[in-house]
Amino acid sequence: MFFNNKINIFFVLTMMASLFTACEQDAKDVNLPYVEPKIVVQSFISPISAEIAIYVSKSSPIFGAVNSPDPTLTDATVVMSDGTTTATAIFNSLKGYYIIDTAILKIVTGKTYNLKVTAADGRKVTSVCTVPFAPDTSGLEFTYDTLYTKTGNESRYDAEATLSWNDPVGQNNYYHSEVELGLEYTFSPGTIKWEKMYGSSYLDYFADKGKDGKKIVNGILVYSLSESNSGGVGSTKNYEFGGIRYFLYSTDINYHKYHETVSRSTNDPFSEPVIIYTNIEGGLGCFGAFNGFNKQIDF
Amino acid sequence: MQKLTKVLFVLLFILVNGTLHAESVLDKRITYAASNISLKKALAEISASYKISFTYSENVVKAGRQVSINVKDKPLAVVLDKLLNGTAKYKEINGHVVLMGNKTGAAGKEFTISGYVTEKGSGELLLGVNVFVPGTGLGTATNAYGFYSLTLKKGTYKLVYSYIGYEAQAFEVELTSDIEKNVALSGVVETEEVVVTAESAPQESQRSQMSSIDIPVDQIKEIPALLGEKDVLKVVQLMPGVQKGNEGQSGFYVRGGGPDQNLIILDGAPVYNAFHLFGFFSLFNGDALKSIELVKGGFPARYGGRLSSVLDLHMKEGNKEKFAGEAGIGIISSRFTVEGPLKKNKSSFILSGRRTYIDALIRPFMSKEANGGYFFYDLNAKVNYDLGKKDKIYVSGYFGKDRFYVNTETQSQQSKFRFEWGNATATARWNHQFTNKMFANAGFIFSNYRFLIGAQEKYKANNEEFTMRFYSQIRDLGLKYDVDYFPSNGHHIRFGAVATWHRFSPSALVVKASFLDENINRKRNIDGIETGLYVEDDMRLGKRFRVNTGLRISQFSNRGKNYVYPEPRLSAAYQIKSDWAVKSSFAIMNQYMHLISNTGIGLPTDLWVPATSTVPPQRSMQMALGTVKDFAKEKISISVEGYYKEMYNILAYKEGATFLIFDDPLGTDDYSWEENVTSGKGWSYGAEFLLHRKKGRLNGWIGYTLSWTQLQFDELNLGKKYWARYDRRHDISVVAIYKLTKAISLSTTWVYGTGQAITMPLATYQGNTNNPNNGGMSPILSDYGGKNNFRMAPYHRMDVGIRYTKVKPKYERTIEFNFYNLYNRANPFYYYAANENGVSKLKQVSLFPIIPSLSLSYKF
Repeated sequence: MFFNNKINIFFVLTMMASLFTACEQDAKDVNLPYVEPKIVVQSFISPISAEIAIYVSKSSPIFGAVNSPDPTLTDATVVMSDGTTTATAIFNSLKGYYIIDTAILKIVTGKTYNLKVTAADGRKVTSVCTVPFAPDTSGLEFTYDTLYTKTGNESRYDAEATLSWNDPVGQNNYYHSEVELGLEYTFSPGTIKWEKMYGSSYLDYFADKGKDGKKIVNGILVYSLSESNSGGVGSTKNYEFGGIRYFLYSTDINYHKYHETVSRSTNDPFSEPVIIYTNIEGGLGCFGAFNGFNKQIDF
Repeated sequence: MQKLTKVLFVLLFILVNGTLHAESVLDKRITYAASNISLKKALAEISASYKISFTYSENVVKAGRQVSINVKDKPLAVVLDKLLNGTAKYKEINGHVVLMGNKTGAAGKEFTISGYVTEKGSGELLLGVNVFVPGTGLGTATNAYGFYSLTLKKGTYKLVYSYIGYEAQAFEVELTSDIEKNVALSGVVETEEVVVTAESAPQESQRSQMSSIDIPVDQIKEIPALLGEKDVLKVVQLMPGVQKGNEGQSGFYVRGGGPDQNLIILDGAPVYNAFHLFGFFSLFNGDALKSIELVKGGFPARYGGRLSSVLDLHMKEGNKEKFAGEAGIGIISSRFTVEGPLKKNKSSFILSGRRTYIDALIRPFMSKEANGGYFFYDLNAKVNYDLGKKDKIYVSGYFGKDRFYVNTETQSQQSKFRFEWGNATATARWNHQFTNKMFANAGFIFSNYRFLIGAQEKYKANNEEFTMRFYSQIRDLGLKYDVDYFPSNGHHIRFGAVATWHRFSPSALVVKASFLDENINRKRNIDGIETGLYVEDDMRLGKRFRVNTGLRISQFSNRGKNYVYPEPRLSAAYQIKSDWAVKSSFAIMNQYMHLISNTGIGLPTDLWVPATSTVPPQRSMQMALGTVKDFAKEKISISVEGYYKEMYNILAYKEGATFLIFDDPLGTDDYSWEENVTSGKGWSYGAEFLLHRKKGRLNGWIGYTLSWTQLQFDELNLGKKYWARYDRRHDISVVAIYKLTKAISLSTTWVYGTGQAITMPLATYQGNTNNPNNGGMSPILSDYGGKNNFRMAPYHRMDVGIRYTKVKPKYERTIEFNFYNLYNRANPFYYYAANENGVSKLKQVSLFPIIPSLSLSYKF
């Protein structure tokens, strides 16, 4: 039907082009700013991570020769330093990224780290980030509620959860937080346990702008699923509440801006393009840091 | 000694007064008759017959003036009163009669000459006609209703009425009392170079207004147009400081402002979408228009509500004296205009219409299974009535619509789809002339703009039906009262008030389907009240300085939120020489509505939304400085202007926001546009050069604009400044019209503009993220290298036209042959990437190649 997708606008554009004698040809009189691949680096360091992971790849220019090999760069020199200790990362082909053992380079709250990646062709990109303090847990509250109802053949699973904590006064804080509800159910060929919980005012990445020093509440999350025994779509049967888990990180501004812009990006040509944040000098991607905790409650 | 003093005093008194003793010479009885002789001769004859000596200066007394008189046995004083008729004073000194100039005393009294200026043969009121005393700087111009009022000191004046395209008329006026003078000017066809007289009208350099352009409608008709469709707005876009969008884009951009920042008013009613067919044709049928003025800076206080420009269009009133008409046949459309008196010299009408017929032409070639088409039509109508000498009533209306439709039929279902948009405006006005110095106009205004997408599906198997109508609408009802007051020659004061009720329905949806439990009827209207109070004075300070200063108080309220802003306005002109002036202006503007663009290319689907408590009104501050020099002999005026403009709270979609309505309207349950937009700032500055020749065998203009426009939004492009899409470094337009003979005229236009700045993806890359629970996702991201990082190819094009007009006794026929895009420039409409032999290339789609067209029109 016309109304349930983006046909209309496309239709109009096509009509416009076909209404007149539209003519297609190679673009003339234009300068494409670049066609060379750029080095892409992503690394998010934290005192709570077991390893330091650094993804290194190259971008694939849209214009020019079309070749789509794996963009991962496996032969780059990746060096990270905290000012006193410098460590070189080793590429792990199984995981597809470079790793530095935290025993060699410890990630410490408040410290600033430098990252330098040199590609095999000699091109170099650099970046820097500082590890933020973990969120204040003194005022942290987490409440949740689950409800199972059965009416006739229909079963309903409802849940809501609230995570709140105090934001420290007088500083810019950025958070990354998620709450997930675990629903256990049988689904051939195996058991899937963790189903992401979606909520109406779900927050992923956010800043304390306008809420400085106040209590921050990560939404009222509502999860609702109904199951009918009459068969129908899939084998969504035998649900059970499996548990609930959440994480709360404070992040540095680079981590925040990168994730926030990535979360908004879409490939929809009728959406406003999103300019993705980068703090990689000479390249693309992000070198960011986070600090906080994960929590899981099993039922 | 005392006696002597007394005698001396008496003598002195006699000397000075001369009336105390004996019979004064002024009491002498005179009998004299003469017809059409000079004052000098009359005085000489009286002097000879009665032995009276007159002393005077010929220049001061205007002794060459023609007089007629017939008196029998009347005192000389009475005779002189009649002969001088207030133009000079007289006194007896020592038996002599001394005639003096009229500059002091009671003779310095002021009188007013006022009236209406019309077109001879049609009675059409002419606006902007210069009424002036040559060489003195004294003068005025007719207002929008053809009324003028000029207050001068008692005396005799030569008064000239002049207007481009019309033969100027001069009258000698003896202003000894208030005079009403209505003047009719006849149109003139300039085929030869006319020697310019010293009485040429006040030129560009003599106006206080700057940054404004008025284009004679006749000149517009001479300019070649796409498919022969004469287009007012396209011509406006050929002026410096005004830029067109790309091909296939509607709207125009004035001094870095967006297309929603232009106030387009037709007979006082705002028009919200001024284009047919996605911007290829303007909404207005040139045959129905009388005048067009575009103001792009130094806005007088009477205008408000938009940031960047005012395009003031006036419809003709209709011929008051005889029936007349015009009809034209073009390749894609036809048009007609009829006008005439309803009651001779009292009331008249005009009706003008246009319709395209592409749909009718292609219909036979379409199948029953799938057919579609497009058409637009518009209709202008106006009626006026003279209620008496001092009151006139006008009622005018516009109605236009565009429609695309597609109908398909398969074995299982029937579908109909339509996409349409249209404007309707109506204005009722009442002019009242309170005094010969004060003129008022009261108006009632209605305007409506709506676009609609309708779909209907019928399933043959079960006879189920589904219908959907999505529409967006803005509706205005307004009241307006404007007063023109001409207290003295140095002042033209305007004041007034306007109140408009706006009803915005940004997105309304009606769905009816048998498979739905409940029909959907979602409509959220937002009502707002906008008011404005203004006063302005266009004044002359001394001989060289003209200032238009004013203040507008604008107010808008919507859902309990109230905005009130003062808007000071100032424009000043200093005349360095009689034909050379320096001008400057300053204006603050507020705009209480925004246009949210769905596509960025200006489709009629863009939504009008009001300022709200979370989306503040747009504001701007503009300064301009310029100079204008007239070359009377060459009939050329050259102006250079620089401007600087700051815009606040302009609106844009947030990055990643999906454009409204097209993204699953059924799912957009109470879609909040407020959450998907963000406000930012804009800067625009530049310089504009215009060489304009409005008259002469070769006329036209050369315009050049050098400008920069940048935007900054906290939430866009990572907060960094970027070039606006319509930032255009260079913009050139050349328009030339040459009258080869009385019957044949040649015309050409050439335009050039720097390409638009658009956001183009240059590369893709892996976007690894951090998330402990799902291991971090890795979407494919696009690298744009920054917002609007890419410049489209420059736009340039040349059009040529030839017109052949034949005047027959009963009608006039014009055949016109045009070439649009003469050298077949492929201007880009949009770009895309395509894979050719393993290489991905940037490709462009362009719309119009060279297009020849022929059109024919008749005027009777």
